[in-house]
Amino acid sequence: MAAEFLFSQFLSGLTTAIFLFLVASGLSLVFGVLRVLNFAHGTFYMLGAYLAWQTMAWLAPTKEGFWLAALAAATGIAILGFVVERLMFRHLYGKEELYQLLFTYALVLILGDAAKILWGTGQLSVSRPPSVEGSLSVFGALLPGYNLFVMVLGFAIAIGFWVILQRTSAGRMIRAAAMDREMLGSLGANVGVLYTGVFVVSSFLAGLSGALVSPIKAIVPGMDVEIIVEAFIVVVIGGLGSFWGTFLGALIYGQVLSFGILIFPRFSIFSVFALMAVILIVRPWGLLGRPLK
Amino acid sequence: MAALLSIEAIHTAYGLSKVLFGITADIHQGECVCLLGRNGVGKSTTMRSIMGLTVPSQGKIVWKGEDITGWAPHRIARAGIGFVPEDRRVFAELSVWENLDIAARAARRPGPWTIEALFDLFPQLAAIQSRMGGFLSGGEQQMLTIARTLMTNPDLLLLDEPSEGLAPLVVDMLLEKIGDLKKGGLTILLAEQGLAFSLALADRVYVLEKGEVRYTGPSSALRDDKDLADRLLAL
Repeated sequence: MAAEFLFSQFLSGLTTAIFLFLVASGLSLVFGVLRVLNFAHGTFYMLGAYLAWQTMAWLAPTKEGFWLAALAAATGIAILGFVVERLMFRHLYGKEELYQLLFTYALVLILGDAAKILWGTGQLSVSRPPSVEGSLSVFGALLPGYNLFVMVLGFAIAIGFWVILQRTSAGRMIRAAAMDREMLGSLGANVGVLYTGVFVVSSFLAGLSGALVSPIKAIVPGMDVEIIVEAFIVVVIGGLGSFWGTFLGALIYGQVLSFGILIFPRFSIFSVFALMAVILIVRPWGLLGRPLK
Repeated sequence: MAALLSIEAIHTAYGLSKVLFGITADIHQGECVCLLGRNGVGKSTTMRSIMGLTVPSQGKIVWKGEDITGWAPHRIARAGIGFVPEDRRVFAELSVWENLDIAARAARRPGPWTIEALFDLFPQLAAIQSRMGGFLSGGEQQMLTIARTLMTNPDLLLLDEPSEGLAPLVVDMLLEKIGDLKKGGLTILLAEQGLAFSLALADRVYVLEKGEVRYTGPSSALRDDKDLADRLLAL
């Protein structure tokens, strides 16, 4: 019994971790390449959830429409990302961090209020698609089919992401842009287009994670700030701009939260903050990150 | 014959600090021209101005008859100007092979320079092609950065202080390789502090001082007239 219980805690931590990874990887990628810490990344996630709900509302009768809704939401957020990058973000590159922070924070407020106007301040929910309705028994612990699906997808995205970054010329170009934008431009690469592409991919991931979380969590105003704080903790633990660091950070976050709840039931988030504080003291650049020059 | 590249009275500043005060120079097809002068006279800034990295506030840069002032660096690179910066700037976390591959894909200018051709020119690079850029010696980095820019098949090569900080043996090797490139018909604009290196390669020199051209003439004039060379450079 005890082992099953612990395993079920482990699975729940893993689910949390996969969602956090999907959100934090985009945040970390944008920081690593564009050198902008995008506070509004969590807002893109929240808007992804709302868009999924909205699409479901339009597609009402068919619950399997969720898959289409998730894709539509992610695409919608990718388009939003494209517009935001082209019109606004590109003026932030190379500016002081303070301006970047103020700008992206303003975006959080504006888009957050826009969401309240469009969808109200109540809770919205999306039901799970019937095709993944059941549960699976893993070593005696119950794992909902939907969670399993999200985990598999999350791992697939993580591996796909890594393969693209390491093994394709587009990935090498992105890594080179992160190292020395000016040099890459001098060699003939259109870095502006590359930046837009990176931002769009990151927005797509944020929108997708928001849509995917909507069948498990209620959609409420404020989920944007909640997730961005969590994603920040993940990248601080793992190392901002480091791909595997983000993955590791998300796994650690999920497990610490999941097991921390057993030790301090009322302060589960405390254990995560405590871990972050320790890492900031011992290794300020994160577990797999590297010190900034 | 019209010049391949004309720099017409450019003034360039970094924010409020002006560095160039009306530099005029031109380079013809097949020539090797050297910008000569000490640190801080504006050699690198001239190169950055040509490349579009620091846009001149006055004057213009004309490339093959077209005014390219204010163009984005990647357009200038794709138009055929290759830049080898002073501090080399190899991509430290990419391998030697990846550094070369990326340049070819960035510029999209097919031509005689391929990775194989460059490994023939710099056999040392072939032996370390899977090593990360950050783990190379200074000489290897300099070879890589020149090779990387050649991958873009430029019509004009801007070489900013290639000999800086390198051991004499390595400098001799580079001198020979750059000499080969020149014999192969490549047009080169070189920036140098050292008289020996530049006179060994250049057909003509522009001596810069405080952001202006102080002297211009064939390098033979400086080679033959030691006094002139001393007067210009020993300040």
